[in-house]
Amino acid sequence: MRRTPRAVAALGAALALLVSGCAAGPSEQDLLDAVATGPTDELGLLTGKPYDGTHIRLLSCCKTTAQFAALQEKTEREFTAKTGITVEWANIPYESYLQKIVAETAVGGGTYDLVVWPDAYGASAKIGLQPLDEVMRRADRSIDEFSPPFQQAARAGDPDTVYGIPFRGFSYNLFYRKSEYERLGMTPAATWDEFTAQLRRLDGADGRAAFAGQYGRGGGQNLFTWMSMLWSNGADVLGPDGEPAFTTPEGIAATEQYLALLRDGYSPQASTNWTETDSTQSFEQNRTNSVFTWAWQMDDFSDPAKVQPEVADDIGVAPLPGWEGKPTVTYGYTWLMGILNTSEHQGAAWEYLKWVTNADTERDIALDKSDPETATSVVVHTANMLDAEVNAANHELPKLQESALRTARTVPMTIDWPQIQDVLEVAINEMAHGADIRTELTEAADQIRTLTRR
Amino acid sequence: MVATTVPPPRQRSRLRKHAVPYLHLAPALLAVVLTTVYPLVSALITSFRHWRLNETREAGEFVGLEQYQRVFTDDTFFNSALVTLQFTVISVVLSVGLGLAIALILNNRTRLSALTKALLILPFAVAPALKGFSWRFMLNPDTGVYDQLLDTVLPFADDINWLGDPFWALMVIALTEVWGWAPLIALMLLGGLNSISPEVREAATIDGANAWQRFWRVTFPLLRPLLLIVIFLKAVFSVKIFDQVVTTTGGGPGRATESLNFFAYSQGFTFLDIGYASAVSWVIVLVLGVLATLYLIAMAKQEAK
Repeated sequence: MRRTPRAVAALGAALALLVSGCAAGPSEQDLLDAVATGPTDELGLLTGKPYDGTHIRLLSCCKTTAQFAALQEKTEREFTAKTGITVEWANIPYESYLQKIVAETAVGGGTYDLVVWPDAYGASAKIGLQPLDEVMRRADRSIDEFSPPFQQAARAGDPDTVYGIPFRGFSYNLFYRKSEYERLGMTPAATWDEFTAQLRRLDGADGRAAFAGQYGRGGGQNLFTWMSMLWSNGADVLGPDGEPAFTTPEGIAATEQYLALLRDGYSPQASTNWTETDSTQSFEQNRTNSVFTWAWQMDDFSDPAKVQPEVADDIGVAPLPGWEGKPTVTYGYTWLMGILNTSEHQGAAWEYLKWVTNADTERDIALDKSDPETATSVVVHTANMLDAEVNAANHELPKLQESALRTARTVPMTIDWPQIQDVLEVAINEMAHGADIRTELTEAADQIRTLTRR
Repeated sequence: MVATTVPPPRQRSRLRKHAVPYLHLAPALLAVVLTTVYPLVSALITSFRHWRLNETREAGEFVGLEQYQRVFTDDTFFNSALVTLQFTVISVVLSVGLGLAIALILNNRTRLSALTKALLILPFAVAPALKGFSWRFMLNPDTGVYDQLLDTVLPFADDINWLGDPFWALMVIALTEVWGWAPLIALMLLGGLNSISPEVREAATIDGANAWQRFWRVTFPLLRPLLLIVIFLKAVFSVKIFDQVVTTTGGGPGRATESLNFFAYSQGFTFLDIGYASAVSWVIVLVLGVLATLYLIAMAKQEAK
């Protein structure tokens, strides 16, 4: 008889412990207290291995992405050898990874020390991140090493604080079939009107559609081109007051121009449902003559193992067109790395963050073409983008990126961005399916007003 | 010293008799409490609070029924409810109809029927997310094998953008579900068909009934209780549709394939509005609760027979 109440009590206690264990998150640490000081080497790493034997965990995804693979390999080979710190890169599938960012930054899971996030997540993630300004200053590092959109993303909407350091980023570009442009005697268009005229000539050339658009739903990918057109025409997604600003005459004109690429038949009808992957695959499979996408795609487009053989040797790249008499403003996309508030190894994490985002580390990787699995053209430091050797090894793409990024922007850094992005990508998709542009934009603006005031 | 009263031996034995089964069940009950009851109760409490994860780590103030009021005034929620209803009707009708047809064909024993029955389980074994990816790839207008096959067999289908047209996109998601479920339902119904005495059908044949009359007047009425259970079971799973929506259409075109679960997921994990997502989830739980109750009633009636 006595055993039963005891067993029930034990079960109750276990349950209570489990529940309390679930509810209490790890406490926050202070980065400045955790960072050791002392002499440093040429990469800014502390000599004397003050964190020897420390194991840190980095929340990331996409382990096989060439840049990530290269960084991991170099970490083991060089960083661990120099510091004694071992680094574990978590390889989480992309969708789960996005949820995990939220779990670690907002809820404070306490599993990881460092986190990598795509720019749009910055405004939501920053409540779980350590400000980096002071440790960067002490380490003689500056966010000015990077282009304007990368700096904006690093500040995550807070003008006075840096929450992450860019380590992967790109400009948005026009990729095209070089031979077709040469055959037609064309050079990449400077304005959207010129581009449309060129599409007319490219349509059906060599059996391929003129252009691979992306008008489908999927993580806001159908907004990349639209936002670039909008900004370049002097309109905006949100105005300085946070109100929708895309229903102005300039915004409507930009949207009409964007939809015309599909409605006038230059982009395949199927692209109403295409995401970035579909449109780039169409280009890789020799079915379209041009596509807008991120600079890193050059690594894939020029790899005969990944694309049709005739495509690999025939790729041209140029900045996105703009509007006559107006500066071209495109989307500069970046991934950032920061230190989690809940990390118990913030000193070691900062050592790694310094090293992994160091311009020399990045340069070494961009120059190393010995293994196709780790060969990458991705560089985010302005100095590396302008480096002649880096350019020579990477299709002269970095300097083109640097030029485009000078006037580029990041997405609006507001915690409402995920909802705003959802409303806008649905609106673009509806317009691609024939909905009236003015009506759809007005309704989207109303929806955004409602959700931001909630 | 505190005096303790010890129950008499007979009472002790009765207590042990009642307590022991519950102790044996305790680990399973604990698992259910931790994985089902606790999240449900927690979500119910959260649904009455304001909590956006990107604003604060802790749940905010109690807002009463505000989140539920928002649910029932949210056009996108009603759109999702309608999409889910349409999807449920299409997928239940097609899965059960096709499953019944397959079962009737396989009920005629042939050399191949045993092998076919074994193969039938395979589509159900494919992960739903993988089904979605595969169908998306196979229906790609440029490179998809299904698209090209359909264009060859049905020339009018050449102009159809399978995943870009609201009607066809929903149909495609329903078909990915039917592809997995119809064979499983066929196996379930085969069990039912085998339990019907051949003598009943033989008697009907002797009385002059043709094949259709034998099915409609003899087989179908005897199979009806099982069919009812299958329909409720399939309906419950259809209301929960999520994986294929994510991997096939992402909810598009527009919001034409946004199911209730996709809507709840977006509110919680994309928009980080945990309070609202909890309220939406509880509405879904109630809908599923009604369906599950109907299913249990049907089961009970079947067992009573």
